[in-house]
Amino acid sequence: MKRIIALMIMLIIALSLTSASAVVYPEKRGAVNDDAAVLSESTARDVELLNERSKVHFTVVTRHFLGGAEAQSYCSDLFAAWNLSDQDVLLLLVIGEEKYAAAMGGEVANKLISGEQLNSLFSSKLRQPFIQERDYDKAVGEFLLAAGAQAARAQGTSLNTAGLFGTSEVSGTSQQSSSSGNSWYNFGSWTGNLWNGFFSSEDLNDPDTTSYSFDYDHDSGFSPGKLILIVAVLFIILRNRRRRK
Amino acid sequence: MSENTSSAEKPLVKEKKTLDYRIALAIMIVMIVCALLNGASKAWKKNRSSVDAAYVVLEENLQQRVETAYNLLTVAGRYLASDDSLIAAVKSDLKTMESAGASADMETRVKAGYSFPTDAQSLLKALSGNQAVQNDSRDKMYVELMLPQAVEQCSGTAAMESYRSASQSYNDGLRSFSGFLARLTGVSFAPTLETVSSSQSAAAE
Repeated sequence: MKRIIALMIMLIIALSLTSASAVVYPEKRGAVNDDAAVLSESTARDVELLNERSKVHFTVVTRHFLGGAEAQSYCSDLFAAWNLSDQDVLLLLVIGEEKYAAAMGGEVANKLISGEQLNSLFSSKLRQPFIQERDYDKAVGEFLLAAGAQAARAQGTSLNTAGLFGTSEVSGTSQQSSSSGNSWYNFGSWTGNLWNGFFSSEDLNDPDTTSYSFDYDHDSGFSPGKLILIVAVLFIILRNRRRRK
Repeated sequence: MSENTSSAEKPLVKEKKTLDYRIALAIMIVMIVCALLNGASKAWKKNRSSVDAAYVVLEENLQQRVETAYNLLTVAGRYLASDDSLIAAVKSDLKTMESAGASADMETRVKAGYSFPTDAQSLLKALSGNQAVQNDSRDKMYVELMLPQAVEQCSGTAAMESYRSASQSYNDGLRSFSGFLARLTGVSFAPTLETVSSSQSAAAE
């Protein structure tokens, strides 16, 4: 009986910890959620048009700050909170923190754009306009065009990008992923954010700023799966002890 | 033979009746005590919910300060050295505000939270006077517009005062007889903010 009570208390504590870590995310408002108001209307329109032409569906989010949250963790959690699908890519730009992150659905990550390719795209297409030029329209446009082309190339098709983001035409077969040797471990130092490393939770070589993730249970610390596992293990232990008695 | 049997049965019946009466009395007493304890527990748990609601508002306010502190430090870190005294003050507030949310620490966290606006404003003033910030349109906007607004929004003392009054009246009531019964069932006193003086909160304003 005492064991059952102890088990119940443990479950209650675990569930309360799970609910305490809940974060409220903004409502999704289409393909572009420009909370930082840094993107032009034409960019927003072009993202919508690109989504109509591409198999991959892109969603862009801009924020000024994340209030201490890690960009990649926030991006992955937002991907889950918005119930984005296997064919979705969520791009997060944190303007004031000079950080960016992306989360991809399972199908995109497994078949169309690998993590290394994504980081290569970050390096070759997004970094320069985002950090140095602060041309956020250009950063989003170049990154999405290259990512869309990469996905089309992986499918063996081409992507019609005529007129999107100020380009004439880009095809999936003509776009080549550059600097494939780049690893996301190398990207930490570009951020220009001297604050990195100030707190123990941040690191100059923090891969979260540029890597991608599909692990929706990344920061929750608890999940129904883990709960079932704990209950099952405890059940087996208790049953074995009773049998011995 | 039959007489002997009946005379032997009689005392047995009498004894059984006495036993039932005692049990019934004991059950009644236990039920009355349980009802009293249950009633007191329910009533005080209900009273506690208003304190908990005020606590949630206070925690949200502290969380706003934490987030604002992070954002401010992000911008400040681009222009000032990490060992700068103004940054160190905000960093210290942040560290305390973020410390484990145990009720025993709440008073310390609230104190840090209410010294944060003063420290934040000093840091913002220093940043505003920095030429490099003035030359950067984005960070100038953060330092002169967005961050001061954020600091202003979370610098009120209403959440703390609301919690302080709710917890005080709850704890006073819990010292009554019904409160005593409720405490026997595990209902506890609410954490107080007695040492966070009103002068401190006024300074924070």
